[in-house]
Amino acid sequence: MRDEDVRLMLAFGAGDAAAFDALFRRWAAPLLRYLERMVRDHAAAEELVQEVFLRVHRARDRYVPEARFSTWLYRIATNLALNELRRPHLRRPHRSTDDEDAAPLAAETPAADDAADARRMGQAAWRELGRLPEKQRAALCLSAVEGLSYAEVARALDVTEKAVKALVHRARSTLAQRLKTGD
Amino acid sequence: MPEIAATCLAYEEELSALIDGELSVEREVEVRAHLDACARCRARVEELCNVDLALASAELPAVPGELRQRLAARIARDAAEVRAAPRRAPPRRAFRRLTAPAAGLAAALALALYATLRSAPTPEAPVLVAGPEPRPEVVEPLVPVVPEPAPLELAREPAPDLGEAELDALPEEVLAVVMELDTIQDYDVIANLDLLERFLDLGEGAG
Repeated sequence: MRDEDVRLMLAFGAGDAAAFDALFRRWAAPLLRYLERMVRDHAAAEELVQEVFLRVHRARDRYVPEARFSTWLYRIATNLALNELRRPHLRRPHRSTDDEDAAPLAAETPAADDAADARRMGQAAWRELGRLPEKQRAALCLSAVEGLSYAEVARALDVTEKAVKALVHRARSTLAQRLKTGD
Repeated sequence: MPEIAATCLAYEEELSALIDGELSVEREVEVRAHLDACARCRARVEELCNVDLALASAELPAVPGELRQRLAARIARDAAEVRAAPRRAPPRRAFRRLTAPAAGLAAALALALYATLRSAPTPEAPVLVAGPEPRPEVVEPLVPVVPEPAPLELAREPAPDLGEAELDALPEEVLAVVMELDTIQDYDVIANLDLLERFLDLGEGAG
């Protein structure tokens, strides 16, 4: 089997608890990185990592490998992140109803808990990434950082590949401009 | 976005896809030919690549050691809740006929489950039927009528749709579970018996 993760997930479904641990070891850190950048809060990101694996655990008897395991994993993570970002306590009064033009929900300066990732990627990039609309941020992170193909990003975001191409380019272009000018 | 020369416009949207290796062979050849001749677009590619450099981390974040333990505790609680959920024949309750769609796919899928659970004795032919009127002193939520033990299957026909009035009438905790389906539908966990049982319990406990 080409996808080792699929093999592990099927083994877990067959009763191999160690396979689940192996999946956790392989994917907890990348998921944490992705979710931190999406929800902009380290504690919330850790909770969401747990939530992702809880759903993986629940789905063990019904898992059918239709795509790469990581695509499925990031789809779960993206749905959870987008739901987290849309929770009422995070909404600002002026939030647009147009998702692509929506003001970002994240804080513009990292809190102490988030400082670690900000240091890893630079304060300015962290700040500007948080200013991107959610789906642009997700598309760019999944493609440029997590290494998913556009087809996989499309499945994770439930959009077309053409939309992914536009989302990624818009996100990169916006960040390029803002990082260059300090806007 | 900075002003782009007309000749470069046709290639601008392709530059990210080029960086990501997502262009067809033919299109990549065309874009690279343009880059060979256009200093502006070459600079643009470098600008876009710098974004990726800025986003890249030297290392992955550290996963706290206790995260796995917290996960184990949650999984154990999850399993305990499933075991503790009483298995009983639910009482027959009234429910309303469903009307024209207003809700999103999450609600439609939830209603697919409703339809299945409420179906006539043959699960493969889910049917919505009107039940008896509720007792006047009890506010009845939209609660499924669950048949005697039968294999659970997803509805084969298009899911009936909830009207806004029906959605508004759902108790908050039931609606929360319905909305939660939106996050898990795509990986087919709507067949998850744990969630279904929780859903039924919430429906019975509400009102």
